[in-house]
Amino acid sequence: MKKINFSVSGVKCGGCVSKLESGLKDESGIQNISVSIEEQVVSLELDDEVKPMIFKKQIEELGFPVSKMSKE
Amino acid sequence: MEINKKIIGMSCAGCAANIEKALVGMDGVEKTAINFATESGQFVLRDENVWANVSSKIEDLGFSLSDERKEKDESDDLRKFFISISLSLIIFLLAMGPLKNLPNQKINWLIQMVLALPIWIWIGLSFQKSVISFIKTGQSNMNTLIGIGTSAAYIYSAFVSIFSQTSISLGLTQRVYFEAIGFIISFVFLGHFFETKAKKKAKEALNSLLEIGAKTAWIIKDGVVEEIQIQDVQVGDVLRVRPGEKIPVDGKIVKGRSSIDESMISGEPLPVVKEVGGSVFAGTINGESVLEFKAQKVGKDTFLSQIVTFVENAQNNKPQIQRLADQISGYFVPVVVAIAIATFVLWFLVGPDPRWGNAISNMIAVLVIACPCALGLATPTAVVVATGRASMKGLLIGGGEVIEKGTKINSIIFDKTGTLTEGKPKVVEFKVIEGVDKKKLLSDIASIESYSEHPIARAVVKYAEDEEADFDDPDMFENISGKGLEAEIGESTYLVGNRKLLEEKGVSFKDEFSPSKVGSYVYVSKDGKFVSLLVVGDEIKPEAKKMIQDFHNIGIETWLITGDNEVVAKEVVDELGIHNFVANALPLDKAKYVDQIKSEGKKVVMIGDGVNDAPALAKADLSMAMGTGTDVAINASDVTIVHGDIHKAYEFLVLSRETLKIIKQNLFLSFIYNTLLIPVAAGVLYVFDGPLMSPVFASIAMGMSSISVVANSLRIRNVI
Repeated sequence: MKKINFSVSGVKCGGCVSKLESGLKDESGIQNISVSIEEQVVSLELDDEVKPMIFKKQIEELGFPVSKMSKE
Repeated sequence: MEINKKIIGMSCAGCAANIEKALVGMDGVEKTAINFATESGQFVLRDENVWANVSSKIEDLGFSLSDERKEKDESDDLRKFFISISLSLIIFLLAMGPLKNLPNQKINWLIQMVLALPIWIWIGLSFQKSVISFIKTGQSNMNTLIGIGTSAAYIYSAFVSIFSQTSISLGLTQRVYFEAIGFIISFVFLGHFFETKAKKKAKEALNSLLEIGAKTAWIIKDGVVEEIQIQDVQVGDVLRVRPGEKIPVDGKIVKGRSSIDESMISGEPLPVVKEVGGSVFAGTINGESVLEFKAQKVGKDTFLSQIVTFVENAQNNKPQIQRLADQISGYFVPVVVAIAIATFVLWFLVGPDPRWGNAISNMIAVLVIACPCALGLATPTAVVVATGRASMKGLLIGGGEVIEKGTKINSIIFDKTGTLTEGKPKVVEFKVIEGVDKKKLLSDIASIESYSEHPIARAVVKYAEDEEADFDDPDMFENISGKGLEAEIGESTYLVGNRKLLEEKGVSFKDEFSPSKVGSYVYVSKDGKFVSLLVVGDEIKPEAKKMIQDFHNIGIETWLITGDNEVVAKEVVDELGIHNFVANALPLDKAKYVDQIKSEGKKVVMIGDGVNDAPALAKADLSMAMGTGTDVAINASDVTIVHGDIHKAYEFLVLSRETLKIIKQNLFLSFIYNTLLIPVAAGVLYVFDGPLMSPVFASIAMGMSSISVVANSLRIRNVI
């Protein structure tokens, strides 16, 4: 298990948060999702063998450009 | 005031020139632009009252005006050809075939007369009209020649058929020319069919330009997103564009960041990354993320609309070349008429009795025999064989005029992108400093770049995949907008981006470590130390060099006009041996340079593939588009190179030169038999106890010239 933080822009309100959560929750390999509006960060807990890159694309397709990604 | 009208009845560029000639210097007429290809005219007049004079003048010349922009359909010509040729074949059987003299001569002739009537007056109407305008104005072309011959033949033959007793007592020679009328007009229409088909293609250019634009836009008003029609967008509206959608109008980005495919505007294959504050243009395609932007220019003011207007004006003001067949006919008609009159006068004054009968019969014979049946075939058959051969070779040619234009070309202009280069960015150089494991470094760089959507990054990833590098996951990744990426893999920190990125982060360079290739440079540092340089470039097509050489060998001057900078342009020019170049050319400037080169007396062919090339393509004397390019460029062009192989441009010029040679031979062949028979028709042989004219002679001449012309045209197949 690893935790990846994606710095995003454009997360404005609860609507954006639920859009992100519902958009990501069915993806295999994700154990946990948390979104912070203040920090503009999407944190994903991923299975070790999963590549974070697909989720970067997924988040951007939902309309939130990712400027930074880091492993915690 | 300005008036735009549709002009009906122009059969060649000569007609357009005649109208302009007639209007020049007319009181109150400030400017006229008559376009044969689009069958339209633009008139700038002092005031409304002038229009009445202008329109009656045009109608006097034998053309009609209409407001409606009705498209002429090539199937119309084909239908007329089939009707005409079927009737002609029946007439032929009645006149010379197995039905000859059945049931008796008089009825036989009357049947022929009825069958030939629609060919003469309905299908051949435009020819007969041009005879009237010839009588009024003295202007003549191929149509006039055909009109005079067929009218003289029909009226004479009909008179002889109906009033046989009267005609015998007048001493008119008892013969009819109905089958000649039929075949002449049929073959001309077959030629028309090919030409109309080509012209129609040219008209599609403007339509497809407009089709690039989006039809609707998503407007954000009071926090609600709503779809509205493109024409309802106002300056200042905030619009949303989703990934993959077209940008509806010109504007400035207020939210989001995305790479935008501007290839239809700029011709550049690489998408451009734009963010808040960046300008976007109508017709371009949004890349991977949602953008919001403020509309700045809408409707007629967008960059795309400007190009449309530009192409429209360029096409309107472009001089059309006069067709060779028309040029020759123009000289031929007055001579033939003069010979016919002389024949009449001489037979009347010094000929044997019946003087009236002989004078009229022989004058008619001259007019009929002077109208060469194969004239209508001379150009089209050569063009059909040439275009057929060309399309087998991957060249689509827009008709006979294009081939005639091709022969006059002495300069060629290339726009670099996509025509001389592959148009696909790839890594052309990968340098590392000493002591670095190249393969391991490439894996790390590619792992980082795989997180970026940037086209250059994608080219790097592609290169790494081809080199079979392993991909890893960076532990940290940051996108430093407009500069590059910062990432951590294991214990190492990498910077991958432009020189500015590394300089800002305090990385020092070895200046001798300079790239030898032209392209976009990607600098890489590891833990604050410069380690590698990649060059992502666009490679020159392998066949380009040979082609440039080939052009030089046939005496064509080469030019390169490109939006690229001096260094890139210079490298391409030097590598290919191109004569002249212009760098840093803006899209709309390209057309200006084409004009400039033309003003030096050069006949220019332009090769392009993007929308940005459309104005320049429209300005050039001859234009070619890559079939792999955008539809607009293809439609604005005379020639399309199907698979994007630029060497075909050379083959086209060779083909057009050879084809023109054949056309000239054809015109000679089509005139020679008939011309030789003019003295016979005029009765010269009779003076030496020889025969007078007979319809059989006319048929033999037609058959001989047609066969010669067709056989000669087939030789074009061996050219390329």
